[in-house]
Amino acid sequence: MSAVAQMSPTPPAGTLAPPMSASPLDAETLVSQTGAIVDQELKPLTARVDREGLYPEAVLRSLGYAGVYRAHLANARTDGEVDFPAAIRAMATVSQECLSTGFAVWCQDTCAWYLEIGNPKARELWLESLASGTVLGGTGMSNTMKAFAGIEDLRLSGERVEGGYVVNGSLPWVSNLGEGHVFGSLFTLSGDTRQTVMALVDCRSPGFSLRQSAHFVALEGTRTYACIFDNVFIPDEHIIDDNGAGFLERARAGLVMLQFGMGAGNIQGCINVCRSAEPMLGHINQFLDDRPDELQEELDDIVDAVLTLAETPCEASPDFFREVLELRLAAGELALRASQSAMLHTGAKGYLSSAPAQRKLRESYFVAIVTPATKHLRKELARMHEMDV
Amino acid sequence: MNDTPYRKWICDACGYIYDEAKGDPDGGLPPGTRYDDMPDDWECPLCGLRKSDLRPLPETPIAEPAGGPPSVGKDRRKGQQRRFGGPAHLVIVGAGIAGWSVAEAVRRRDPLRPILLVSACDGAVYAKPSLSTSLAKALTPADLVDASAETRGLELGVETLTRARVLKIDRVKRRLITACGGIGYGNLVLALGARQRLLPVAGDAADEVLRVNDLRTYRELRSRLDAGARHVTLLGAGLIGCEFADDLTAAGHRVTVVDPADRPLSALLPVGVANALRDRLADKGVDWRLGVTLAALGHAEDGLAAQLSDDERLRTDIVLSAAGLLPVTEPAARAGIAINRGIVADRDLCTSDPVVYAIGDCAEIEGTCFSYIEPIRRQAEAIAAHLVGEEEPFIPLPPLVRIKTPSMPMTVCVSDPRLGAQQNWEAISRDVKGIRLEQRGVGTKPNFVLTDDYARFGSEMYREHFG
Repeated sequence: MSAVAQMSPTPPAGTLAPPMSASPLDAETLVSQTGAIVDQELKPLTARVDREGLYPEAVLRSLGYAGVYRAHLANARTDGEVDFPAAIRAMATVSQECLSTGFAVWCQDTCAWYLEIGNPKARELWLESLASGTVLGGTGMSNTMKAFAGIEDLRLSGERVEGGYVVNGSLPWVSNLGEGHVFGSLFTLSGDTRQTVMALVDCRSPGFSLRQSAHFVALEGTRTYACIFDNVFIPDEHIIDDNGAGFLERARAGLVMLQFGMGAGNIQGCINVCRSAEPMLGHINQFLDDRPDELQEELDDIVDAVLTLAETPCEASPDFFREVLELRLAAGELALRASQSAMLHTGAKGYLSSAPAQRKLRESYFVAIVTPATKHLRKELARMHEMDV
Repeated sequence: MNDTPYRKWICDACGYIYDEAKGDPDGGLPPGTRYDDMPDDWECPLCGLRKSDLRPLPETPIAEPAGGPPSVGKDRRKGQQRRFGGPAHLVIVGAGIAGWSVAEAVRRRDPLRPILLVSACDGAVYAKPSLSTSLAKALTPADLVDASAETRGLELGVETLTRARVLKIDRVKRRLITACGGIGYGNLVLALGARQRLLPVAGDAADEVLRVNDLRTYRELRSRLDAGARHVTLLGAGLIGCEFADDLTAAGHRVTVVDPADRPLSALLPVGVANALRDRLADKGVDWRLGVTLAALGHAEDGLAAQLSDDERLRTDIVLSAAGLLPVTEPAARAGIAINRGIVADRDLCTSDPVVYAIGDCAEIEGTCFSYIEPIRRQAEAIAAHLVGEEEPFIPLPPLVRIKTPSMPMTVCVSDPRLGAQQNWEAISRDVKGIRLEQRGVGTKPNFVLTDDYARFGSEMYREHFG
């Protein structure tokens, strides 16, 4: 079931007027407005997103209109502030209901984050469109992060030409893509990781195509495609940073921290499922491990720590990034325990194909295996530990 | 007919294996289709990538790195506990001399209380004053370590959690938040220490200024020094700056000291003594640049280029800052615990939260931060006594300051070390054995400055007066 998505040209980004939501909301209002969109627009679609792979585009546009994607972007806020904690909490509110949609929010937030900290030209062209959700975007950086951790080779390579680069190669499984979407990715100039360039890729570019082959056990409504680059021209104004390695170093803490929106939301959703079973089953559930109060305490510890770190997203010290990775690992591991507990607490009711518990179980594996995955995190933390000793 | 055996190919993105013997019937390739005969627009049925993304399946699995995975780190990460402490626990934050002193003092008075010591560093037990006196004694950073945190913890019956920076103190839940997990406490001791003041320096090498304040940063300094003789520029002619200057020259390095004052230890020492120290170190080769600051630091072809505030320029290899200490207070301040210059504590070392104590460089008692070693053990005893309901408050006394410059060792006792230079000193002796200055007749507590051979009588004189 392969399909090559052919892209037709649409009006260029950057020409759109900023929407009404350009003035930033305070964190509490943003989170509560996100909650309202989740209740009114997302909840009726959650089961279809999961079972039919419906892409919740209207919900994503609404979240953009509400200002969810601009909380962490100083250059897209009239007050010039950066509020990572608000971005994480809003994403958690979405992910608690549906991790597909939460993941799409992460893709959008992260793509915009690349532009926020990249070259001014690309930022001027694209940031507002992404911050407002008028253009939707993704991040093709899984391969990059694994390459820099020595797990695999970089898959895209570019050649310098007049006015830009010509890029060839392929990336598997990049999400939140489609006609008129963009994504950030990194290519190598010399075939190794020493000379790399970070760029924004426009899915409408000639020679670029998307292919959908695989089907996943969850996260189906995320428009996840293989990306094929066949002599794709990337103009200089789409270059986010000429120094890809330096860029990744600046971007990585923010990128990983934003993922806590997915983890915290999934875990909280599982805890809520456990609690919902208490009135009828509490008398017998008390014999289970990982009771909701224990899980909640561990989740609160993680969230407290993350939101504290998120106040300084540009901190560059290795110790800071190690802390981010420790917490990211903890979130993946707790997601697995929490979803397991949701199944055991709800019993047969959670085993129904319509039950939130079994959906959250499948979603929780995504938290643990999306880059940086549990094994990747353990490898990286072990390496840091060795260097310390 | 092609007689070569069928080969297997792997999609290096998703791991799909294309077996020439089996083909890909769903993708239109009958069994026996060779790689070379596959159309270029073939798509991987799992991930959608192309024929060109397939590579020959290796005969053997990818080898593990030499020696296998790093065992220490791997074990540490597996099935890690993430909840620590509890309502009965005394939790000590900080593994410097202050933190370990509290652990020892409490354990002596209370053999059973659960104690957990938490630190951002590796928690190793070492004497911090040795950092500025080790080169001359040819000691390596490893020689300075008395015991690892784990070993000392086992000896004392104290749990340890290292490499865990406290990000937040939740006083309502009585819980510390770290990246390693949450830590419940009944009582909390903040032994957060002090950090080196950051000097404003311009230039593209401003980040190269080293601030040595613990074993980890000292290791970094040593790794640069031990490669061979270096030129070191020291920023600050205070206690640590002077000790480093003496130690570095003794080890064969060339040293320039930069300080805005007109003499070393300008606040603490009387002018004549300070000048004597300056001359003594100058004889050893120390190049004094007094009355100036470092304006800018840039990269040069063979090291660093320093530009001083009087526009003098000098080439140097290492710039080491020793510009004074600032108490670490942030976690307490964020939790709403009263701070002034340090974390405000009373004579029982209790902060504005009665279950939280502060000790050592981070604490401020009756307006004073006691940034010397001597008061720490008495502060630790006061905390231990208070915890078990005994009365043994900390008595603020003038600190006994030892200046460990072998070229001119000194012991100084002044009620306020920031004002030593301004006192009216009476010369008791000034001879081949050194200088002995005292200030008599002010109350019953004489101040004194002892140099060279007289310096070793400092402790005795101090005990005579303060017990």
